Amino acid sequence: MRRRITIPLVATGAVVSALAVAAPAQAHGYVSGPPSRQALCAQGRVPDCGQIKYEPQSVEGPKGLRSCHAGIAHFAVLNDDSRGWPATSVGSSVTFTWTNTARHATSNWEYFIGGTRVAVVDGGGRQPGATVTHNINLGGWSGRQKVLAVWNIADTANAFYSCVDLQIGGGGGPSPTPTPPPPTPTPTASPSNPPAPGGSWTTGRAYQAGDQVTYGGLTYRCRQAHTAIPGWEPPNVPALWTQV
Amino acid sequence: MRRLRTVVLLAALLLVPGCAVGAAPAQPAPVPAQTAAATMSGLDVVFLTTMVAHTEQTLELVRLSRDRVTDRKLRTLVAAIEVTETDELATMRGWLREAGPAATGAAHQHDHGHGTAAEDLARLRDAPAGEVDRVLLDVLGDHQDAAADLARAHLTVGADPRVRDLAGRVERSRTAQVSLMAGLT
Repeated sequence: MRRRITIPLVATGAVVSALAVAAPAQAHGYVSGPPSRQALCAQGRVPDCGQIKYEPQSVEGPKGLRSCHAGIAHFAVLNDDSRGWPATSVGSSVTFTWTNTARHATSNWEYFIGGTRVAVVDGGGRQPGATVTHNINLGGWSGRQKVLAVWNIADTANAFYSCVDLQIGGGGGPSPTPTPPPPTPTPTASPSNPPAPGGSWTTGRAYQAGDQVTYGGLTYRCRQAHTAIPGWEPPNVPALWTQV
Repeated sequence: MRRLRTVVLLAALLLVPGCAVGAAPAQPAPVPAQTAAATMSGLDVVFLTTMVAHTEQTLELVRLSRDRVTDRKLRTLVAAIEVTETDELATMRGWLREAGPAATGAAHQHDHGHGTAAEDLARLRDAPAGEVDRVLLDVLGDHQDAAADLARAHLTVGADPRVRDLAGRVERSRTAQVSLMAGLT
């Protein structure tokens, strides 16, 4: 199923693309917070990780493995403890977030430190959400620890693996955030501008084609009937609004 | 429609036991030189790729139902979702092309089965006339909720300002759509 296994090294991008288009699905889920090793690679916080940078969700292997890379040779960097993986400082209770790019029916999620299973969360054979969070108690553990998080799929023999490096307790502060999200800009219509016919753009209002509004000091004409909602501000949705 | 069936088929193939890959000696993939815009991280590419597949499914849901929806407000919402997400899809594909062959290679091998399950699509396709609105509200509500979740998760980890801005708009618009749809049930 995995195209890299069956296809010899190919030299040209064109060939890679052509094969990739025909390749079956294979990417599914990883721990995004605290950042797993593959997430750190994908964020660019740990350099020179190879292909995992573009597919942190692909660390898939048979159930029951206890390595960080699911035994996949070209993801072996994930299992290399000497790579200086930054550890996220946490307290004794940690919220793990999985980002699932394919929502497979789930047997359970398991968390290991060393050979010890520190937590298991039942999946009930159901399809999980696009993201899943677990609040895991790591009381009794301290210092630097490598947590192996495992997502066991209900209807295949496979599981997805993510290793997360933590600094537990010991006065650890809040986890460092690599790129704090900026406050979402929510521009509002400038109050200093006299309202054009139709008034200022207002969420919750139903607009018809031809209606005019002001937004951010500019005037827009509605192109297609809709109810205004956040995220559909006139400059953001040219399909719905044209600047006059 | 044909693409969707292909997608479902691929997803089904993936579930066939024996696809386990972990123990196989894998050839390392060629890692092409990175030509992505400097600000586009691997996670941005993953998010865009996932959202492209998700948006393609939105448009499938819309096309399956738009001529059969009876409620006027729902019909208006579905039409607005179609035009706004068609634009978003073009934007995201453009950014992925811009990100270069390494990114688009990863993009193409990415899963295609994200989000709405085959049975949900079948439910919508097979819904009798009087049931289309109810089934669409159910399926599209879940689908847009999943998009909001993905976008919310990306807000804290995304690198490229354009991609983060898009994620913010996806998060807000899909959340608002779910509320609108809840008001129609």
